[in-house]
Amino acid sequence: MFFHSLRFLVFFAVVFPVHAFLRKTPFMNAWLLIASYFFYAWWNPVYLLLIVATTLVDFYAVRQIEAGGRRKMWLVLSLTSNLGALAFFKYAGFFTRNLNGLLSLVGVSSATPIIDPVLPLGISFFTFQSISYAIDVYRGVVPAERNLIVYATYVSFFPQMISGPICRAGWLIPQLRSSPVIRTEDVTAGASLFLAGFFKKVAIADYLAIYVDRVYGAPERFQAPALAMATFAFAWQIYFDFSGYTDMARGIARAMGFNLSPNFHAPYAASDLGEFWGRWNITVSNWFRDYVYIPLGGNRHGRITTARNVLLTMIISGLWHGASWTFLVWGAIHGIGRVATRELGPLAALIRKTPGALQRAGVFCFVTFAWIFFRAGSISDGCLIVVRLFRSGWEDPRFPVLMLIPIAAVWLWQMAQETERPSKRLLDFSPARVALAVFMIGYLMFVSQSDTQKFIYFNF
Amino acid sequence: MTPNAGSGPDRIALNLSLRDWLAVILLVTAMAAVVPLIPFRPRRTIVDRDYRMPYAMSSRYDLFRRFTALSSSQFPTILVGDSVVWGQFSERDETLAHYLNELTRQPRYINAGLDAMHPVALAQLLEHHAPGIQRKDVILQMNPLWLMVSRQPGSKELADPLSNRPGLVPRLAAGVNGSFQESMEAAVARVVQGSPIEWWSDRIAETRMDFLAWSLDHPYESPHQAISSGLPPSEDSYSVRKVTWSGSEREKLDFNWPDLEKHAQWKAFERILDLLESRQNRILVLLGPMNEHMMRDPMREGYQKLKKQIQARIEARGILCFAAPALRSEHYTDICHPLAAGYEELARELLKSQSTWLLGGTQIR
Repeated sequence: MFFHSLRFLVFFAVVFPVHAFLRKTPFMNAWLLIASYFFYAWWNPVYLLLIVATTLVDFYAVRQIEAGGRRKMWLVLSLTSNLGALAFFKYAGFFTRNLNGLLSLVGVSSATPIIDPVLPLGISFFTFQSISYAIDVYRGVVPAERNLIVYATYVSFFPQMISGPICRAGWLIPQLRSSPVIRTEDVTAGASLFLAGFFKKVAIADYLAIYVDRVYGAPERFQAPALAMATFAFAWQIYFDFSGYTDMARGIARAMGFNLSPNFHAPYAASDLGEFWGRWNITVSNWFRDYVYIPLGGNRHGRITTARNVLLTMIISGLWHGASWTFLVWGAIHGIGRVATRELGPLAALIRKTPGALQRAGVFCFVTFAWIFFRAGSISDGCLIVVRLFRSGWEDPRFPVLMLIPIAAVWLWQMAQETERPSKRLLDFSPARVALAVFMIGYLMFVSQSDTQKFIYFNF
Repeated sequence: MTPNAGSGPDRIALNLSLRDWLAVILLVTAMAAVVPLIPFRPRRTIVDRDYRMPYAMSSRYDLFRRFTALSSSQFPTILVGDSVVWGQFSERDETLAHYLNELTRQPRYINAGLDAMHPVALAQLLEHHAPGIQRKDVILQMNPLWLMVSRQPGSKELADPLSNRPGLVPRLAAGVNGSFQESMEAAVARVVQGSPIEWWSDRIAETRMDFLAWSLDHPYESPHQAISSGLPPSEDSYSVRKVTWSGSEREKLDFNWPDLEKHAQWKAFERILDLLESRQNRILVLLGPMNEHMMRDPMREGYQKLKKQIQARIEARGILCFAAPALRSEHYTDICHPLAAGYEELARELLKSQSTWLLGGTQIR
């Protein structure tokens, strides 16, 4: 059930009024849980059992962690439950296929059967949310939740269950435990966020996708300019797609009286790679920082160990995005980039001396280059694109000029947000807000494509 | 860490107040009410007889609606189906529609095939995006490819056909049991059918501008050109592979055929027949043409039985069914797609077998 579908509209039209009615009663979380499970079961009812099972295991294990005695064992049980589910559903196919490839290389013909189950929607997000809860309780950051319904709602809260943002227990559970206040401004702000997200996804990301898909579908048929334009277009497509989804998720939650963690903050305006990851998919970046990078030792043990930790964290982050070598390479490129710009003193010092606009442009180009491997169908496709970017001819890319308009508008808007220019205050002016909203709705009604694509991050 | 809204990333750039929203609702309602009232002049372009929907726009169902509306007024016979009808591995003047026009020496046939249009999706497409196909002669292709099932339960060797055309597939159809259920959109459409809401939504759809996908092929032209012309240019050539299948044993397939009664694609196909009949069309079903040379013996034997079963089921409804014979092996590029010579051979066979239906149908209205 996509947020931008008639089904979701009907679903929300039922869920919202009942929630508003029940929010001051003990039944609020039960209702949200039913709604969330229904939302998930709409995709595949069988996989609901997976969420229920991991929720029960985590709930019980974390209670035991708090109770004391064999705390580590219970933590390991919780982590095994979540990471085991993730490993089986997401990585078993990748592992068996590569194992078969390796075996055939050494001349072993008996192939391991390929285990390739259907990937449960949102598994990367709800398992990470559960893991963060178990570790936070273990570290004493948050108390264990004693109410199973509240905990189950925290894991499966429908606005953020499928693609985040990943909310820490300390952020969302207190909101679920209290009676949310739904003020008029919450509903209007929620609707505003939803409209902005809807527009980003349907009007911009899906439009860019038609060029990107054409070029990346057959990279051998295109030359450097088209490949470069498609890569830049993809950088914006994935931003509008994912941040659009996040806006919709946050808008829905906000209208219901909940605040989900922010997840994007003008990432392409970042002036170094560390800053980029502080602005892009913020909740996932923070998750990797707190539960992978810091436990690995962070920056506490010298330059070499720090560089290793950064690299490992980024590679794991890449693999989290997808069970494919392309994601691993994507993560490694970012890891190398971060190590080079942060840990290698002379380069970092040189970068610090360059003007801010150049730094931003450099970061954007680097991030865009890395997206090649994120989007390419295979490592060989990715390499082919890189080679053709530098070695093929200069044929007209035939990039639609129309596509540049939304990209340029958003780029300028983001730059304005970073400064104190008058344009930043344009939307403080009511008629401008109304005009923009009417334009967006009119565009969605009369211009945007009728057949929308699914969210890119649904694949993860 | 507190969940309070603040500055930085949590700031909402476009934050409309209640008063703003009321103004927006008022203005959008006015726009939605006025636009359908603007006298709409259908853009009567002449559809070229070899026209086919551009491949890149095959998901533009509003365009398909316009195309079928325009071509219905010009051609007596419409060919409906998937990439086999569209001509995936042939030029636009090498398709079945083209050779039927050639052989009958009349511009009677128009190609309304769309890539990956399996029956579940086709049922939705015809019901909601092709009201123009009524009181016409329709050659409806049934591609048994969509019925193939893997020999091993749970094997993922054969991609799920329902993953094609997601915008036209009801969500629950992709469920674990593969059962077909009517989409909510279809149910809503059924309720509003014939009501002012349908009229309004049709007019809104007619007003939609097609220039986004169009801009891909016309990157430097003004969108005004797309809006003021009836249809985007036809697809002249899509294929990058026009080679005969290898013919080797290794490439031969061995899939099972299903129990027809329980198969969601077959049920959808029957729904298509019901729909086309209810719109008073004269129907000829084209079954195949599958590349039987590419099937291993058990699969081919199963296919022969399935073909007879399907033919009997269709003819029991009083509808003609032409079960395409296996074309020459070298005329196929894969399990179901003929090459240009294959389309010519198929057109000849079809004309030989069904000339009365093909030549004696309805007149151009």
